[in-house]
Amino acid sequence: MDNRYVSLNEKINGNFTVLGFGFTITEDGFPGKDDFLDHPETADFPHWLECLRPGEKAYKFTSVESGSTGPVDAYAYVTQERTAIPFWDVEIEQLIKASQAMNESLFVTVANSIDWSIRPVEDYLKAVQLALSAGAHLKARHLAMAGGERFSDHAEMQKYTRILAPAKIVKSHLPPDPEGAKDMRWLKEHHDEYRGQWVALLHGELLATASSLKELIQQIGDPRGTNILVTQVY
Amino acid sequence: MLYFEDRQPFATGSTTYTYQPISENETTPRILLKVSFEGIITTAAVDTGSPLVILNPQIAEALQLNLSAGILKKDVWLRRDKLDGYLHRLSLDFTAEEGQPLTVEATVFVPELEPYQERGDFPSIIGLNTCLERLRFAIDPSQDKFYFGALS
Repeated sequence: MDNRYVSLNEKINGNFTVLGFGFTITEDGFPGKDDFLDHPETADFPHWLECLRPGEKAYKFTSVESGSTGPVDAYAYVTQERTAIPFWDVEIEQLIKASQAMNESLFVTVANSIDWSIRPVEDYLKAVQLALSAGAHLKARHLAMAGGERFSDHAEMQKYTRILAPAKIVKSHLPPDPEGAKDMRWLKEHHDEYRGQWVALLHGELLATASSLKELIQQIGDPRGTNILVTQVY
Repeated sequence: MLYFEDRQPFATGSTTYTYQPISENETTPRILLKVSFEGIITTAAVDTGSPLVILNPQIAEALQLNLSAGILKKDVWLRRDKLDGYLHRLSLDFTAEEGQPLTVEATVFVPELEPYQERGDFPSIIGLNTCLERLRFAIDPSQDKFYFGALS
C-alpha cells in the first residue's frame, strides 16, 4: 500500500489525467461524480473516491478532513494504491444488481454506460448471462454480437454469438404438404377426446397414441424425414 | 399468396392453424401451428408476447439435444412454472400447404425439467424477438390460415 498526501487539485490535474480514460470513478454520494468532475472548483468534494480499471490496480483517494465541504483544492487526500485487495468492479456490480432485481431498463442503462472496448472477454460472457437473467434479451444479443466481433478466436464467446444471433431465414428443404391441413382439422375435431395424450397423425389419419412422446416413438419409429405429425393434444 | 401493390410478395407460404387453449388450465385460445423442429413435425403456439421460442422438453429429448452445450438461462416463466434451461440454435420450419415452406435458424429455449416435474404440459412456443421478428406474417381467421414470408 502506497500512501501519500495529494491535494485534490493535484489529483485532478496530475494523477487523474495521467491515469487516463477507461476508469470507473466511484465516490461517496455517487453518482454525483459528474458534477464533481465538471465543476471541481465549486462542487462539494467527496470524502473518498476510487478509480478502477478492470484488470489493473485500483486507486483510492480518502479525504484527510472528512465531513468538510468547500473549494476542492483546499483539501488533501490520502492516495492508496490497492495491490492486494480483491478487485471490486463497480460497473459489473451494478449490472449484477440490476439483473438480480430483474430490472431490464436499469440493466440496459448501466450496460450502455460501460466502455466495452476495454473489457476482457470474461466480462462480455458474464454480462450476457446477466442480461438474460434480467430479461434483457436484445441487450444480451447485442453484447454477444459485439463480443463475437472482438474475440473472434474465443470458442465460448463464438458459441454465445452463434446461439444468440438474430433469427436467420434459410432455404427450406421441405416440400410443400398440401395434405397437411387434414392433421390440423383432426386436432380441431378430436382435441376434447384425446386431451393430454401424444398422438401421431399422417394426413388426418391417427397412427398411434401414447402418454409420452418416447412411448409414441417406440410405436411409430423416428418421425424425422416423414410427414408424420407428433404432438401432445391440448 | 399475398402481395404488395408493386407485386412483391408479402407472404410466400400458408398453413392451417387451430385456435384453441393450449392447456387444461387455460381458457384463452391460441393460434396453434404445424411446424418442424430439426425435422420433427409438431405443433407450436404463436405468442407475440413471448421473447423466446420455447421447445417442448419431450421434443428436445427425442432430438437427443446435449442440453448443457447451450447457454444456461435461468428463471424463465412458462405459465405457472419458473424454469431453468438452455438456449440453443435450432432449425425451425414453417410447413406450407400452399406456397413455399420457410426455414428459420432461431434461438430456442429448451427447459431442463427436474424429475418431479410433469414432462408433458409444456407446449412449444414461437415467440417474437428470436423468431417472428424476422418474418412477415398474417392470419385469416375466416379460413384459419397463417401466412408467412421472409423479410426481403
